[in-house]
Amino acid sequence: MKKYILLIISTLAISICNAQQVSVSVSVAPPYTPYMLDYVFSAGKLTLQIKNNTRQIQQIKLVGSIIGDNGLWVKTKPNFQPTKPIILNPNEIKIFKNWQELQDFFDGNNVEYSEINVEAIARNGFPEGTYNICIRALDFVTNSLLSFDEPLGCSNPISIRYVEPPVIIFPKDEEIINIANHQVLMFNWSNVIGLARGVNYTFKLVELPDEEVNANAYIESVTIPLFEQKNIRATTLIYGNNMPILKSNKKYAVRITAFDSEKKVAFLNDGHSFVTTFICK
Amino acid sequence: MKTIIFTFVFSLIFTKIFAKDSTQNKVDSVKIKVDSVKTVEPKLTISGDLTISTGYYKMSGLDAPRGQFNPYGISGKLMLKSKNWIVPISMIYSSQNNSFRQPYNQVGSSPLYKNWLVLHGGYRNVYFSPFTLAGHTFLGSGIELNPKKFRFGFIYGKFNRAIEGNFAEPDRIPFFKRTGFASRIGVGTKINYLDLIVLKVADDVNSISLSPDYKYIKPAENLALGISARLKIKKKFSFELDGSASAFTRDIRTEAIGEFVNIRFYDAIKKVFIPRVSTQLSTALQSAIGYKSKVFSGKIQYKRIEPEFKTMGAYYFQNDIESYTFNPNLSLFKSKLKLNTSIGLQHDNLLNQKKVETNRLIGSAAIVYAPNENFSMDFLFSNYGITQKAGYLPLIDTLKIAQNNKTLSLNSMYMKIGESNMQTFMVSAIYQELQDLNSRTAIFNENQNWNYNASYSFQNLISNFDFSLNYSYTLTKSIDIESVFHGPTCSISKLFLKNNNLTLRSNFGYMLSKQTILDFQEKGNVLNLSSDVSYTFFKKNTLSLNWSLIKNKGLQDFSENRGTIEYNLTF
Repeated sequence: MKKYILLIISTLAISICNAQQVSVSVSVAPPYTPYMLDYVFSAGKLTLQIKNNTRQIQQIKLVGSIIGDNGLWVKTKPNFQPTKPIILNPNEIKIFKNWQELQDFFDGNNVEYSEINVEAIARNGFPEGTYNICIRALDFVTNSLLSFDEPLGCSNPISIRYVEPPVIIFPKDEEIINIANHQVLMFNWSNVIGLARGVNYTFKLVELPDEEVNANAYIESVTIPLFEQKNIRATTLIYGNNMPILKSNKKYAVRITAFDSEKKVAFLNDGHSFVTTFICK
Repeated sequence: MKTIIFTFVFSLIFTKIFAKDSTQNKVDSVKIKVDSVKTVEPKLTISGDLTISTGYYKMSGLDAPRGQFNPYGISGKLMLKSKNWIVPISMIYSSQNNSFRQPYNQVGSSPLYKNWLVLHGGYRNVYFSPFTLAGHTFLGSGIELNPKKFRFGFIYGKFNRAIEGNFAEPDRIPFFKRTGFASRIGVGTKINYLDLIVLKVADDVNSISLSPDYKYIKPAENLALGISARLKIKKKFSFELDGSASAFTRDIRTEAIGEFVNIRFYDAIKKVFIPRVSTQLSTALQSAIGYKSKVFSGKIQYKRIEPEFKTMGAYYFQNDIESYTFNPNLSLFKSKLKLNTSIGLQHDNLLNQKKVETNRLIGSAAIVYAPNENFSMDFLFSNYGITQKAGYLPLIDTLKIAQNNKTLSLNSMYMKIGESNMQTFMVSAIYQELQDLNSRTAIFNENQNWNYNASYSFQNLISNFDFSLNYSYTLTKSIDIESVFHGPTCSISKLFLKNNNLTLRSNFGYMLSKQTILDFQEKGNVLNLSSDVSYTFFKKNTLSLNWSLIKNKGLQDFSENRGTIEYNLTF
């Protein structure tokens, strides 16, 4: 019995000892978009640091996984073997920011998937969820694990959400609004869906030089709008007599932009709503 | 460039002004000829207008972007008309910031020949269908033909210009040059038709020197195929159909899928469009059936736009949406009573990618009662309701969004028309509320807004004098903020001189404000002044001066001063 215990302890000690030989750390810069597949090919988004903790040269290969809290996973195939090893000199630290330099361990041919519709993911991105990208270093020849197993060697949690920009409810696009006798105008938009709190809105109103001007291009170009208010927490803006006067027979364009005060979430269309125009009569 | 434009514009103006007498003589001579030979039409008529404006802007009290600024702008239209051709030319120029991917300054023309040929040149917004080429501005050229039952259209141009990044201007976002074409071929007329459309637009990777580490802007590519049909039967029934499939590559530098996945007909496909790892294929469809008669009109519409559906020929529109909308409208008692209603159901999460599905119920009803020309009254109710149910994951009740955004408004107007004057009395009330049905989030989200307005206006038709007085009260309430603005606004306008060619207009508004944030209360006031003077000389030239001031005292003290001077020439 003692023999068995000793054997188990020594095996464990050896494997822990092996696992410390190389340390791997992964970090992903926010904001996170649903197109995680693009990360792999996008330089600068993901940083990988590998450190040789030993005084020997290590010949390693990397394997990885993307695991979501929604049951979805993508992993490098166990039999993945790159053509050449990554060589780490004693105590050397290597930082990879450009994935082109790395081996194709997330390449379509070298990965296996959970029961997911790969085509749908390739077509429309990953479903909403919280994901971790984990990378481990293996000995190039023996396949033995040289770095710590998960959760070490994993990135910070990547929260993927489809956060839609606000939708302007009032006024309706191309609406004709009566402003006779200083009528007050009530602008109203829907709350951002997909983000519980911390949303601020910017309201931008411009006067179009004529009715044929493209409101989308114009509102983007104008640096001094007729009226702009930032950091609005509510979903209503009452345009009253304390604001610049609107003129009759003029066309105006309005856009609401949502901001995440914590700057963690990527809004679709950069948080800009559809540009709505209206004519004052 | 600026000098050239100015020289051109001013020479045009002065030529016009000083050539007045000779022009008048010419007009007189033409008139005599027209009188004697009435059937002769001028071979070419030229009309148009030109506006030059400049101004100043001064803001004190709040931070940028409201700094001091003196933008000037020129806009003009020129219309050349002959027997067969109509050539409208439009131009707009401003000294405002010019570092955007679609410049503010644009010149373009779309000459029309005999109602069946249209040519496009310059900056244009051409519309083929809502899901392909839908009015995105481009700089280029194009042609649209509709002889008899044949329909053809083709445009080619630059959809965005290249913008280089610049460390000195961090707000200047770099952008790739984006060029492409769109074409349509179809059968039918302008009212009834069936079109097939193709759009192919792509960014030029080499158009700007961008560091490979730059992660915000990526060169993209888009191929969209669309169908568009319209049908009208006996002016009563109408049918609309628009559909599109769009392949959008977010980064053309990513690997081609064909290199590691077998795709049918890949050799043929890659000649037109190379599907890449970052390529997304999505579809959009909308269809509507309408009916219109004197008493009843209605439209049933269905729309389905897949998540992230986009094309480079259109600006942003809401996607990941499936909706059903019904708009029945009634017009009774010789249009004295009108009932306009609309009800729509929407949901998202079409491809089950979201944790939760959001449903929207959008309804509105408006009653307009106008028994005679002196009195009218309208009442509007609308609701924008949002609820959620489980999508990809079970839904946690505490995070569930359930909201109603309600608006109620009532307007009433009475007009008293005398022999030489007209008096109008108006009252209106608006109530708007965001109601949160989730008790855990209600306290943070709920807000209510009230506005009451009463106004009186007097218009003397003989002396051309207008006067109006208005009093407005607005109350806004949310969890920790309450604000009240109320006060009068008065406006006066009068036409002077023999030909009423001098107009003076003035507005004066004074609002008292009271804002409470938590236990902190601040009282203040807002002064809103504006004045306009415009003078028309030599019939076709108008010079206008405008000045406005907003002075705010309260939680945020600031004053905003604007002034514009504008010259307009009509010919």
